[in-house]
Amino acid sequence: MAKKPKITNTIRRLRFDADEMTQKQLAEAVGVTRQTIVAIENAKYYPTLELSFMISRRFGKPLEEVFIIEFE
Amino acid sequence: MSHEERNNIASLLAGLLVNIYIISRLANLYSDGSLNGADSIMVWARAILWAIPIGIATVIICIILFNILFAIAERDPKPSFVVDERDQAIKSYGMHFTMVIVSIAFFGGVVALAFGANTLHVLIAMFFGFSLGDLIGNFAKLIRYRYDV
Repeated sequence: MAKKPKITNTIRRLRFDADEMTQKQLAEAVGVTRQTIVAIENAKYYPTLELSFMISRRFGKPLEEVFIIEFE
Repeated sequence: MSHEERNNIASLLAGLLVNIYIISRLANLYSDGSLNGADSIMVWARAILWAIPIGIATVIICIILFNILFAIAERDPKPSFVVDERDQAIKSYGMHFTMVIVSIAFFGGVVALAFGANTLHVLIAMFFGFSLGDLIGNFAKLIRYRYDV
């Protein structure tokens, strides 16, 4: 059976690059709680495709630059 | 702490309070002999019917109080009330635990009745099984919120 791929992300760096945007600001921009952004950044929660696109769009980046799938 | 996490903790506390109330109420009914007569199931049903609105009111009061206390503790006059997809996912996760426990309680009750167990005792056990399912579901959600496991 194939191993489950791991999905990481670059949100922390993108926030830093975007004038050090806070987690709260990002959460409010995409309509979720700050705790959800924390969980996503720590790869503890995988967002839905809809939220993934909203986060990517907020940074003006394609999805693949924000979320990276890793096959171990 | 998100709005739904606060509500979850409040529901957990309210569930514990309601269970303590029901246990004490049933203990009183047992001690005064009300649950030993021919109409024991009717007495039990009336006690449970009263417990349901009391339970709902307790949950609402606990949620309001907990949100007020949390806003005071955090010194946040405008706490967030956002409910998002992660809250929904965690709610669904907790619901799985609740449904498993409730199903076991129901099936166990039916099996006990099939083997001739006392109907009143089975009803009491089933009700506590349902209540336990709710508590375990809320506890599972709390673990998920706190540790993201």
